[in-house]
Amino acid sequence: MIEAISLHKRFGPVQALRDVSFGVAQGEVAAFLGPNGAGKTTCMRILTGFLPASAGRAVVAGFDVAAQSRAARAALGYLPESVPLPGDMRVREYLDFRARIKRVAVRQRRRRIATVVERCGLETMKARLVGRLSKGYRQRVGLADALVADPPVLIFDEPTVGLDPNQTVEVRRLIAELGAERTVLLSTHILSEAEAISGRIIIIHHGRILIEDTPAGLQRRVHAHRPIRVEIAGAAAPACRAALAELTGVRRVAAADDAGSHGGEWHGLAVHHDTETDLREAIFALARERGWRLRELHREDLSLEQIFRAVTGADAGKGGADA
Amino acid sequence: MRNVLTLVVREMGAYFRSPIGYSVPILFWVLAGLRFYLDLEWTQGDVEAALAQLMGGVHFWLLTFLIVPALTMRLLAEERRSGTLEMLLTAPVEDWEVVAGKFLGAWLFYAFLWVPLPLYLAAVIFLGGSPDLGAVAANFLGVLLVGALFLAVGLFCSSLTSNQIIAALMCAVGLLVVSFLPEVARLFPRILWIQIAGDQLSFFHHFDEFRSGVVDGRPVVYILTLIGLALFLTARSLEARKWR
Ligand SMILES: Nc1ncnc2c1ncn2[C@@H]1O[C@H](COP(=O)(O)OP(=O)(O)OP(=O)(O)O)[C@@H](O)[C@H]1O
Ligand SMILES: [Mg+2]
Repeated sequence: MIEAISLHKRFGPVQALRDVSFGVAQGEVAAFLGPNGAGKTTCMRILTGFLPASAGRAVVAGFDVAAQSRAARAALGYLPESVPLPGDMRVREYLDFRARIKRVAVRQRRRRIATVVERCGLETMKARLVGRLSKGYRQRVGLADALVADPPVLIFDEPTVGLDPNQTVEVRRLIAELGAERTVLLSTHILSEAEAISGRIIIIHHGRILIEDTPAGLQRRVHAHRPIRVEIAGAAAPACRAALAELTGVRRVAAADDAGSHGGEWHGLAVHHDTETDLREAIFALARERGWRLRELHREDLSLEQIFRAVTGADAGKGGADA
Repeated sequence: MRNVLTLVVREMGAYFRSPIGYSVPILFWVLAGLRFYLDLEWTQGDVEAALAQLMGGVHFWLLTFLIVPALTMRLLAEERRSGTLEMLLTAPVEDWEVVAGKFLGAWLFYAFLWVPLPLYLAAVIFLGGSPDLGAVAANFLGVLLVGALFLAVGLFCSSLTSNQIIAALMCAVGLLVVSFLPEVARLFPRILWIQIAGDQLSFFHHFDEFRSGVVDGRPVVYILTLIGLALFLTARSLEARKWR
């Protein structure tokens, strides 16, 4: 339903996209994952027909986004990054305007608006001025707008930014629901979010696609690079570290980043390893054998930087394409 | 076409909710009404002269030059600044529909400013005057056409920037250029066809024809052409985001 074929985009001296190709099928949720300036927004703007590609082409719902722009746009709902909304309209009125401009049939308009208002939790905000809403509610109005014409293709640029934790969970659930019969492409900075809601993760950096994989596949690749966080008491810190370092596959045991936050008998440690098997069981067994007390044992999330290092084997560098 | 209608309604709504929506009409009604009243006084009830002043005197031009930038500066500059342009243009609407909707919305609001005109006429007739309604209609047609042209120029200027103040300033300059096309043309003495066209480029000249009650097809076509050109350029300027 979404197909990008060798997209290039340059802004003057900045090469924002280089040879980006991917596809998203119906009933699939794909996530763009990448740091600031990676080119996620640029790519989405090309797919929505707001910007043209410098080279390459894109097809949405069977329509070329450049040559059959209107038909392509009619098939998609778009949530832009900053959710720009006109300040002078009320929520209901704005959704009505958007439904009209998206040609929702007169007889369905009321029902569609009621549906998206309910789905996005906007009932209590219907009569509010859009310009005065809090960030999270603006985000929801943007989502409602994207959904109002019930399009088969949805493109969400950072849909959970600015939402409180409850809302984040709710929006992720909404997206999963939508993804069942529609095509969804979203962008995020957060690996765990991409893993939680999408069936495929497209990691993009410096305008280039680094990896395209399922969450499970990505897990396998970066698995060995996720340090295990433990908190142990019952022995001296050096003794614990030495014992842990003896386990097969462990490369290094370091003090956890937040080790300073809890003194006393508890030692916070990060176990770095390079094995495919899950070391947590072995650590637990070790603690039992030695009579340690254990109050924390989990795999830490990798930052994007660490993932890049993990998959490219090199330091991907900081900053964006213009850095 | 339905999209254009939706956009016109939206634009009118935006006018009536903004400070412009009440300050401009009040300013216009007070100043134009006062001037009309004084003209009636000074000319000792010469209705025709007072109406001609109302729709083409110095005050008319001053107010128009003030009002048009105020009405048009927001139109596209604000959409660009706030980013709502991205929302608008990624919906299934054509660039020209956006331009047409904005233009017609502004023009209808401009026409709304003239709501008191029939009231003035009624009052004058009630007080025993007998204005030549045909001439008034011709003059008013001229007013609406010139208003449309100026608004189209303002809309174009608003499409060039994301700053309303700059849009308003460019609009003021643009209006001067359009108003004094023959004089501007004389700055380029070597372009022959401009010299030949000469005064025909002046819509002041054409406008005076309307004021004298004559509706000729040629000036109408001329002004409509200029409007079309300004709107065409506006649509191109929206598209220009794609070239950068
Ligand atoms: N209109 C523009 N003009 C010039 N450069 C641009 C423009 N839009 C984007 N860029 C550049 O293109 C690159 C990619 O930007 P883009 O906004 O696509 O990144 P992103 O992945 O969405 O980042 P973020 O996570 O911060 O939203 C950046 O280097 C940016 O500076
Ligand atoms: Mg972005």
